[in-house]
Amino acid sequence: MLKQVSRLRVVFEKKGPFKLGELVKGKIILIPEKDVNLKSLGYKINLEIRGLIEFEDYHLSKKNIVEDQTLYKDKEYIYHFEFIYNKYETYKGLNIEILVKVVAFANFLPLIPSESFLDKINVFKSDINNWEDKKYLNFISNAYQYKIITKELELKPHSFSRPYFYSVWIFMMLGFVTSFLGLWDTYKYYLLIAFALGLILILSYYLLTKSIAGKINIQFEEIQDGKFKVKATSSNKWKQVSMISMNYRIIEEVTDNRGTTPYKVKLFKFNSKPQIFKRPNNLVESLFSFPIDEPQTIKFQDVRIYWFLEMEFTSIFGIKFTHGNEFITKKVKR
Amino acid sequence: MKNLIQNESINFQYNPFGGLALNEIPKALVPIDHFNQIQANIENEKIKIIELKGKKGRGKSCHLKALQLTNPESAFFQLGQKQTNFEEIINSSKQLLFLDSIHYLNFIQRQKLFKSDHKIILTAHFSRHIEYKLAGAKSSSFNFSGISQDKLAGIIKNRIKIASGFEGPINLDQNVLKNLITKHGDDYRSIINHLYQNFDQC
Repeated sequence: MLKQVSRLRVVFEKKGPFKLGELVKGKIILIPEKDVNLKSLGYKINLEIRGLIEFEDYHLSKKNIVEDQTLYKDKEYIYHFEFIYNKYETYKGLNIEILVKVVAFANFLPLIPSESFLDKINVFKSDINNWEDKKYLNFISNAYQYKIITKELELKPHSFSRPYFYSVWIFMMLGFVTSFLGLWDTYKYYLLIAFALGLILILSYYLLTKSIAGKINIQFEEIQDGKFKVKATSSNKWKQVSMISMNYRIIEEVTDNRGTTPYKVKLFKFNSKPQIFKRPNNLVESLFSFPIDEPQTIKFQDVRIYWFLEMEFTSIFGIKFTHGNEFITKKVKR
Repeated sequence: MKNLIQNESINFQYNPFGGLALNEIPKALVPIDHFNQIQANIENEKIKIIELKGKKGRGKSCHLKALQLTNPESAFFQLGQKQTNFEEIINSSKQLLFLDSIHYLNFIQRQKLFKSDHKIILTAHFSRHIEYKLAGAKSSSFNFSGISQDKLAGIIKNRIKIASGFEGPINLDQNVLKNLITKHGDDYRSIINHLYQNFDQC
């Protein structure tokens, strides 16, 4: 194997966590083990998403500190650098981590390649002409407040109420199980009726929810002291609604595309206290507090963290419906 | 979960049980017993299709990616979620193709591909031997199933090294490993995911 030509280390003045926008100071230490021609030395900043997902890596910035220099054996070279990072906070959830990685690099002019056959086929060995050292740094928001970017929103039916869900599920399962047991021929007419009933239930659910709830419009209004107001109106003026329960959630959703079978995992990170309104009038106003130390809306390839406004309303016939939609938030400097 | 990692002096830069960067996969992998045979079959011109088959979470995709890295003159296609265009695959300038999740192509596309001039290494949940025969392509198949405590320990230790840079010996509680296998069987991914979500207790 070729002998290692240099030692490269990146160190920082403090361990962190750093505040977004804070000046980060560090140094790259290089001790060559033989005389070398340095082509370039510097650092790059990458954002990494790791967790129950395919690894994601985003290049944010790169800076060369020094170029084209001859370095001598056993001498210690120290290169100071500083930068300001103010993009994403680092984050540790149940299913993902958002990490900021600082990579120090040194590229040397090509040395004489090894004649060893083993070296040629071993693609996993370190590249002899390109050296790296990395450190992961934590960044947190500095004196922030939440801002709701979405100003207006229409809520949509988003899930079945439980009795409906169970009815449809039972009808569907009956069909599959009896087919599997070879009872299809005997009971096919009953099962077709059951299946049709399931479909009718789905259809009626959507028609009912539309006619009872009408078109639900939301307006957001930010108030001081970490609070925000949600104003909800219905095109049907809530005439057939006896009770409304409104809350918001922060959800971490990851799509695991590793391997041959993709699947989604959801984590409810935050649930606000529900606000209850009995016999609502035309305008329903809720006052919510922002959470403490939760992430803003985030979206990457297989990861997203989103805020979701949810409204469950009970019709005068006692049937419950749930509507909801996502709204976008951002942390801004106070 | 009782402490799996017995060492006290390991500083992790991140949770070691998450998705890996492409260049980390070979470092984390503990190759299956017939890894060398697969590599030999890739070099064997008579074999047209090499199938890595097994249930989900048994390491097919990881091995496929590692094999592709050892054969840089090839193309890798992750089918399914990543909207890969079939024309892009069939018209690839590379002769050697690595295809993850072949079931995302339909029967006609698969036949067209198996009849093409490409050599194909693919992953599948079950053998498609009849389809290869139908296309007149000679194939070999490798089964991904089974687990051993040693192999699991090897994978976990490799991941710990990648995430921490720790170079000393890593001690794992053998009883915890045994319990993980009892609970999850040979589903490596299920074990690794479980460890990810319970890392604070590891």
